Amino acid sequence: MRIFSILALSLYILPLCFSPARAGDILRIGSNIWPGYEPLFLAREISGWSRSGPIRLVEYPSASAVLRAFRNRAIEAAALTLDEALLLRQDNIPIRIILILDVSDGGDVILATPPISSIRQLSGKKVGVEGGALGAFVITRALEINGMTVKDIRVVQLDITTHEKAYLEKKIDAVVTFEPVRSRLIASGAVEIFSSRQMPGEIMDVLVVREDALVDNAQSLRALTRGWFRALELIRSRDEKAAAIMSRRMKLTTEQTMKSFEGIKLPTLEENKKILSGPNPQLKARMLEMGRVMLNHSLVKGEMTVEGIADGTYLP
Amino acid sequence: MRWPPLWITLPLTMAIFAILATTGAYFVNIRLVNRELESELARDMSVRMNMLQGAAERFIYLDAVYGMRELISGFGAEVDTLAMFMADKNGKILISTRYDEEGSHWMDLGLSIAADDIRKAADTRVMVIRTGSPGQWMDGYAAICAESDSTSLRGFGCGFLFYRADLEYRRSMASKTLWSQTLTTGGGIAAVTVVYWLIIRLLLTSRIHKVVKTLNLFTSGARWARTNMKGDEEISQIGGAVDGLLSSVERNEAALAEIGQFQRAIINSANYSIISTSLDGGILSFNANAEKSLGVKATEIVGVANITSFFNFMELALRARALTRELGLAVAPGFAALTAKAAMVGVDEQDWTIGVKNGARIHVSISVTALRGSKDQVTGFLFVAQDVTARRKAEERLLLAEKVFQAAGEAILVTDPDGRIIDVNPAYLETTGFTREEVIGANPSISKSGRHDKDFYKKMWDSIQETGAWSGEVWDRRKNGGVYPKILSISAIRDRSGQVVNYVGIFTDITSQKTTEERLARMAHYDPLTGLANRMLFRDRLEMEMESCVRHGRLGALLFLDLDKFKHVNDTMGHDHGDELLIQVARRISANIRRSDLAARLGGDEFTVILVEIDNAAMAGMVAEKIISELSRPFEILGKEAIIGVSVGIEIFPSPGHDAGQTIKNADSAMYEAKMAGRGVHRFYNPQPGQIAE
Repeated sequence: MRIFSILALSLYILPLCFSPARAGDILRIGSNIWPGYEPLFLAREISGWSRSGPIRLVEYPSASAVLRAFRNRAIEAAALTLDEALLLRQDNIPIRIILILDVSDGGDVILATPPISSIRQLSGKKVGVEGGALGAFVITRALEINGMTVKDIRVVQLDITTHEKAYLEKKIDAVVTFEPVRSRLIASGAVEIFSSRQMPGEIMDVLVVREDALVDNAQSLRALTRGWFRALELIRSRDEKAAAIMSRRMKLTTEQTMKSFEGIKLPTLEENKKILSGPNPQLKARMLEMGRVMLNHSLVKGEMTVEGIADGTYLP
Repeated sequence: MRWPPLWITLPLTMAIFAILATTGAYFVNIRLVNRELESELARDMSVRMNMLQGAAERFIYLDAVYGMRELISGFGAEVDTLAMFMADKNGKILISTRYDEEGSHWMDLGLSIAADDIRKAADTRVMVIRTGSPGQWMDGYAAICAESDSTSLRGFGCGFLFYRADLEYRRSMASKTLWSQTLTTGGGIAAVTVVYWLIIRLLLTSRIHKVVKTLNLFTSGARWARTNMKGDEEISQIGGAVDGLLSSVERNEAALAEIGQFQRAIINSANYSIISTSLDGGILSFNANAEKSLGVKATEIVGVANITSFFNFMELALRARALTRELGLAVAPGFAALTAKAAMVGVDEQDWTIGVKNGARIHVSISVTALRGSKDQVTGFLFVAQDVTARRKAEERLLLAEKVFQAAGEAILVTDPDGRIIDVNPAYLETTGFTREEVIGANPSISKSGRHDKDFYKKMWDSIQETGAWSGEVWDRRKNGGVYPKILSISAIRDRSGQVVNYVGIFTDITSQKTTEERLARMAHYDPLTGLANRMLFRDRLEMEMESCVRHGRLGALLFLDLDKFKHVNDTMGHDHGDELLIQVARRISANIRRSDLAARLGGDEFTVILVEIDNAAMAGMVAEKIISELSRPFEILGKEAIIGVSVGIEIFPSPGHDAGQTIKNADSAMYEAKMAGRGVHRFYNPQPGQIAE
């Protein structure tokens, strides 16, 4: 009897030894270029995630493309701003935020062609904005702060890929943009008339994961967060190799690259835990607050639930 | 080789075959699938690259190359996309799924891209798709050329699109599917195997086990064990057959046990010592008689002692030597001496002397039989011993008896119950003068003397019948006719039932003894001087005659004589003359009485005469007168003349109340009366004093 059960058991165990990785295991993380997302790519290099491995970083030209891919379920996870995440919630897409990537502290800006030197001077001017993404939120808040509305300016819908080109070709007077385009445009003579420093803590980048992809990719998610925090260490220590890797992607000099990090804050593991973990995480309050702001400015159609979105369980 | 039980073997082989079949099928299928996957991926790649090629050329034409970024980024989300980039004619990467690769030369990527294929794709305008060297992926190369003139190309002559698709990913997916299929099949087979196993277990092995268990139970002694299987199918038939077999074994066993019991009873009650041994003499069994004879308990000796320990070494050595000679092979003076012959010819009988426990020796006759096994090989020996000590002693006694019989001085004859002589000894032949042939079968009466009447022989036989013996004097006749006396003892020999089987007669010729006896009797009963009866014989005869007279109603008389003047003759003429005178007096008295009468000399000059069968007292008186007158005549004694007289007292008997003593006293008294009356007269005894009968 015992011999028989051992035999039957081995019949099932034996093939498992040769079983390949399951297709559902592949975690695709979409992102656009933004210094706050660079630690992901740094993590890919230092952790040696292979081209055929379970963690794939899919590089989109713009945040709009990332959002589209996420909505279309082409990817399992996406690096997004908190307002973008709320846009997804507006459409009742079930998501989790498992990692706070960065908080913009000057990285997001409104640049204008001289002699325009303030928001007020934008009145009646053409302003390039990525309306489906963060840009809408930034321009709305910037105008609000200066006692203006969108109606006071002429909005030109542009995504990040065309910011530089449109600006240089003088098709717009100002542009709502972010690093590394910011650095490049400033180098080309653009003037910063507004930055996220003026709306501290409001622009936050997070890692959003499709709820139904969590279980299959739990291991990869943990590997990802581990890699993330290791990359942060390297950036904090101003590692030259790390800077080189990142500069190649951002098409900046290493100096510019390291400088671009001045416009963002990278929360530590402890801060992450504070924001994401616990029965009543900080993130929840922040999302409710932002939701209210967005609703006030008609950036969203209605109220949305933020219950259970913050999830600190995948932190290392 | 030991096979595992059936209920394991059958499902196990089935499972092993199933595993081999499913895994075999897997490996065959995966090859087919892999080949199919390769061509499928090649097809997919050509469609995708064709699309990208078209789009790229259109975007270039529209001067919106960045539009390609969207497309290529989109392919980056494709799980089987390992790498995709578009390079310009110089090999500089314009757009890639990885932004860090943009601006680099493709050769710096380390992606093992084949320059030949790039050229080939560019030259022929036909995309190249081929499997990467390890078979892990497929590489596709498509030329991207601007249709229009150089201005719109923006330095983008004929570049190329590189696409590396993950073949291994598809394979792993297919493999996974196949495995799950294999596992499902395997699981199905496992389930079937379990069912099969259960069926075998329930229908086959459990029932076979029942049969085996029954047999084991039976073997271990449970004679009641049966399968009790009923039915027509094969296993039940086996069960039924086994039950039949067990019943028959049980019956046979009971019969055997009974026989064994009989045998044990016989062996243990036998008057023989029965001992079985192994080939080297180790005692294996020992019956009750052996215990008794040898004084050893079976429990003390079985499996412990060797049978040779009972034997005398000298005897064994002698026997061994004899056997060596007899059988012509060397026999050791040990166990072989007991068994060599039996082992050779089957049975050996021999007498032995055996030491028993108390130190005594007994004589036994031992029959040794070789016990043989199924292949006729000797497996042991059976010793059957009979204690012949008693027989030996009986034989010795018989021999002694025979010797005594032969050497005895007494003649001995032995007859059968009918009195026919069956044996006589030499002394008999010597005494009787017959030859052996003459007497054997004859009746002892052949030597009858005729001196004894029928009554004598009747008494003799009566005594033998009553007391079993008789002895006495018998006169017999020798062959030469001579009659002789013998003392004969006859004993009846009876068997256990009391039946007479023999008569033994022992006798001695007493002729010489008889003569001596007669002389001695005479000396005892007769006066040696006169030859007359002496006082003892007189006394006996008187008593006898008195009794006889009383019995027959006859009369007798006692005459008491006393010589007158004899003292004078004796004193004057001497003793010689006195004795001579007494002899002549005795002659004259004897001459004047009948032969049946008795004259006696009591001593000195006293004589008595017993007259028998007289008619009356007067007749006695007449005899007395005649004696008186005869003795009154002168005697011529040694040339001298002597005259004496005699006085006679007479007592007639029987007289009531008188015994012999009284009669003598009375006669003596009468004689005194006669002397008183003046001598030379006779007087009868008168019971009244003073009155003497005339």
